[in-house]
Amino acid sequence: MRVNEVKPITDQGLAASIRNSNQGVFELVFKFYYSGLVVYADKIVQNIDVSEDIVQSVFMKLWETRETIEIRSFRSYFIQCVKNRCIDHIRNQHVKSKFDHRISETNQFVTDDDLWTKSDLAGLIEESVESLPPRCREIFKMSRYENLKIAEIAGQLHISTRTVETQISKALKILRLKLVDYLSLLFPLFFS
Amino acid sequence: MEKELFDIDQLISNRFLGTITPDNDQLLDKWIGEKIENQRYFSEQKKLWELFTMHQKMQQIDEHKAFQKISAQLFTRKKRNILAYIQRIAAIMLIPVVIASSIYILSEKTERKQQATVYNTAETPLGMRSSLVLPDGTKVWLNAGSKLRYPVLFSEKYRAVELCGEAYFEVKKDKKWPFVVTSGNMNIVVSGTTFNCNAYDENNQIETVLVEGQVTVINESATISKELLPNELAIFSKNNQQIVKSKINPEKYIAWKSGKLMFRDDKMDLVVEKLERWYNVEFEIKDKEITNYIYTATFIDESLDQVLKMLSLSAPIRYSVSERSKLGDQTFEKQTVKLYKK
Repeated sequence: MRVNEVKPITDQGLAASIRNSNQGVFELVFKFYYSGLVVYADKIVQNIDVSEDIVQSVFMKLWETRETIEIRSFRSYFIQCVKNRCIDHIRNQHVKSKFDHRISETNQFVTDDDLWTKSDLAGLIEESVESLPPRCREIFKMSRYENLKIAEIAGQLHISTRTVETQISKALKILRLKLVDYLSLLFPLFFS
Repeated sequence: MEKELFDIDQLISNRFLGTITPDNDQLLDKWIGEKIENQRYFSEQKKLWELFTMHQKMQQIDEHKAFQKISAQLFTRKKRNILAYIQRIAAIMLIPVVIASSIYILSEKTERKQQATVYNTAETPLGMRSSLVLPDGTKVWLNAGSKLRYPVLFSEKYRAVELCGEAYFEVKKDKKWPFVVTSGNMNIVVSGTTFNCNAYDENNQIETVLVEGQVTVINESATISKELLPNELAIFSKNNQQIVKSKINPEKYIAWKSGKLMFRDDKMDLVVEKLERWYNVEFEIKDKEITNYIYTATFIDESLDQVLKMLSLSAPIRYSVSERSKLGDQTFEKQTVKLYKK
């Protein structure tokens, strides 16, 4: 039987396929980056529906202009496009003061490192949450994933709000140790 | 970090939770302002907190739906004809005999006008099996040497797929969104159900076994249709376009899906046909008489060698297996098994 050499998937390779109108590859790239880009855009425009529209329009533009576009890195390409459209959106809203404020916020707080893909986070985060002690994990998940208020969690579990707070703080402490390497990567020269 | 008089982690997490008291809020600000290390620690914890906010947000975003939305805009142009088509489909389901034109012809017409319906093809080579989930959530298991063609985006009011070979379907229930399997010159229309369809090109019949729910089997010209109930088998003959129904135990028809090869009073030529696909080998029956032998057995994860051994033990058969010789392009030719009368 013949064994084909497995070639690593590169952005250039994927971009070439898209240039050749390969819809399957387009779908793959879309599904890989979409949710991350939406959350990234949401940080700037503060509106999840607008963010979805923005990211969709970026992908539509990519497909429509696929034959002429040069992409070396999807990541930086998408960041650039999404960021520009977000700024356009804010500008179009004619809220000058807000606009200035947001842009400065953008420059300061939304960096390229804020783009995470679902698969990045899935591995990193789900694993570390699963490593929490059971009670701590349960409370942490209720707070962060089910969006329950401290009082609601306390009510459901018949414990004091103080215990809930302590458990969440404990969770953060443990998660910090698990994720410390990634956190320091996120802050290369932030304060220097 | 030095030991503080208060639990700084608690203050930080309370601030994120929004439950921090004004006093502590000030205290925390003061602590952050004290040293660059404190500032850094706080920012890292904030990032950590945001990471989870992002993760939670991302989980609520449906990229499949979003992709359907943009591909509808990018890859399809006209939608007008679909409505007419849906009415036909509905009619086919209600009064199949009345409809003269076939789904097959209709779908071809629609495709031409719609221009850009994009299809995926899932294919399982001989000797292997696979499963996949269609865009609507329907689960499909594909048996060896089978092919399923389906649109990347199902049309709004019906779901049509094309099958060559054998597949087991668990159709996502949706009464208003009929699921149509087309194979050769036969259609199976379902609304949400579990069934097996065996439609290899080389056979002159198509077998449909219903496990659960309800399906309707219709010939190409929609002149003949049969409704199936669970535990019924419909054999559609490609030659005379007849559909014959019978009561069966579906077990042996669907065993392949869970990796079992099951024969129940089956003639040897059928056994051989299945083994050929299952193990990607070729059989040669050297004595005609063998074809009429009736065979019952269940194989689970057995190698071809073991299966052949059991075959020769339980039936008056002996066999020989050819060496696989190398072909010009460095691949090996198929193994051939020869069966003889004992």
